[in-house]
Amino acid sequence: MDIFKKLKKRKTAFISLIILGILVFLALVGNTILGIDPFETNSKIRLLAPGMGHILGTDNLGRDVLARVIYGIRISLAISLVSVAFALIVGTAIGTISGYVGGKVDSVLVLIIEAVCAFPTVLLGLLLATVLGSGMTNIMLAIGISNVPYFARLARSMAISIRGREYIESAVTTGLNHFEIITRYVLPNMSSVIIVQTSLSAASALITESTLSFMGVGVQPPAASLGVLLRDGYDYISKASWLSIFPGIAILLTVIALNFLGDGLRDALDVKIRVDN
Amino acid sequence: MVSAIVKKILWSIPLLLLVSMIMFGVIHMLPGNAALVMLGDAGGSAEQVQKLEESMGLTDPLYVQYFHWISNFVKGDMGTSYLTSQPVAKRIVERLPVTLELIVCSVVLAVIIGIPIGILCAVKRNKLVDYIMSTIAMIGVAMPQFWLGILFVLLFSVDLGWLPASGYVTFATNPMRHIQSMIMPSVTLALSLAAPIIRQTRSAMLDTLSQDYIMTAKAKGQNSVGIFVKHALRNALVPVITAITSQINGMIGGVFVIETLFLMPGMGKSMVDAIFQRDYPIIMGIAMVVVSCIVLINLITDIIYIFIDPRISLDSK
Repeated sequence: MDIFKKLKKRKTAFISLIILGILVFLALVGNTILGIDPFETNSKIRLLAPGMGHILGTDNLGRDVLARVIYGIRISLAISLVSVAFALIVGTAIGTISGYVGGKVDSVLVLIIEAVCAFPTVLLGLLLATVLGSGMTNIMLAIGISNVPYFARLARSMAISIRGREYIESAVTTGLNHFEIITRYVLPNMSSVIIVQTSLSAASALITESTLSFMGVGVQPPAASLGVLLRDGYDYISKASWLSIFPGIAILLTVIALNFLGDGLRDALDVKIRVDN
Repeated sequence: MVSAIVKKILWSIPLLLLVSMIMFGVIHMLPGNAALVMLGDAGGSAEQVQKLEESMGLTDPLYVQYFHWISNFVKGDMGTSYLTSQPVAKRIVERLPVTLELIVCSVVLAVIIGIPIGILCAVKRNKLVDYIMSTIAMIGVAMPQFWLGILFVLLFSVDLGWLPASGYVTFATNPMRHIQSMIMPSVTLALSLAAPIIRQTRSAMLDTLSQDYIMTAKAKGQNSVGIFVKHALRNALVPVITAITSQINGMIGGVFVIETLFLMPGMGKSMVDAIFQRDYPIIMGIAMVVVSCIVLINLITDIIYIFIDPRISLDSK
């Protein structure tokens, strides 16, 4: 709870946290509370402009755009959070081993990390999503894998700096094995940096997800992420501009909140190292 | 220093080899059948497909196929497209100018927009103009490139009717139309690149302006414009260049998106089409060119750093 207290002192970060809380709440139960259905089609009210009844208008099948945006936030957030969790676990594990063990293992792992980093994220995501096939789990995996090297790089440089500290030496002399040293000393000491990276990566994962969806390798109907909504809306851009606007605003709001939260956490946790994605 | 540079250059060889192996492996896991793609919509009997696959070498073990590909690649032969039988190298040479033009226009625009605004924000720190510009930059960082493009289409094509929503006209065909077709893609890409440049320039300038030597120059009575140009700007440029080069990966990713959105016949669009069409040689060729460029740019940046600051250790990246 210490982090929470520190975060509370930072206005933008705290507001972002509240906004994220609202978005998650909306995503989970918003449609139930408002009594709107993202899948209900109605041919009589196709492409209705925003107004009374349908605050954000309707789409080409007469579905309520507000309901679809809320549903889209749920799918987009789920994809970005799960994929970042995957990258966090796998990346941190690889990076920690690489940095802690050092030597040849490190050289080989660094080469692999650098090789994957050389690919533009969009290209890698596009290829992986095509290989794995569309569907939510595969998209999560594709974005997750593309984010692994960023966590690995960070964890590696942290592990190297922690390894050289005195308390590690004393831990070795007390007879702890490597696994115990890593779990008790190395990982806890890099946690702040990883937490900051997680927040920023979640933001970029959301952008990647919407971009991949827009390019046609996103989740499949009936599921629809914010990117899918924008892609579908683009066909009606001259007739129904709201289809191209509201899902984008939802993306923007979520990403800004996640970025602010990341910046706030960086200050709150006093992370000096430059974290990027 | 020389050994550090040589080490750096030698490092990129296994890196690129590994990249090509990863690419090759991933591409050959793509679902669908290249032979079927080649036979077209008409399709073919199982026998025809089998025969074609054999003649294309697709039935060989993957490492044999890879060895075949890489030995041709180092000789400069990137194979031919499955779909059009056009040599991959020719396709790349054909499409490269469009992409290069897009990148050059965007980077130039981004620098023209980003650096002055960043400086302005630093000089007017915590004033209204700083807040407004910093907010815009922050939104720019958080905005998916394709959505920015969509909003531009909405404003300049649908509402105002000033610019074409998509398509590309070569300069030779119609210079005016060519410029029109380039405006929205370049500006979209430029703005997403300008946002991090603004932020980086601002913080680099603030750092420099608070240094002792700036105080000294002020105390000596040097005029502020002189201080600015001679001391502050020059020292702030290094982090700004870092900001630009560190965007290269995202920038090239953006090219794929922007070319797809605006239907520009560049390398990015070509690549995306090839992925959906399972045109392996094209995917492989373009990916290698793109990734090699990224590796090369990073290599040059690293070498420049070694010159600027020999203390930068190569091992601690």
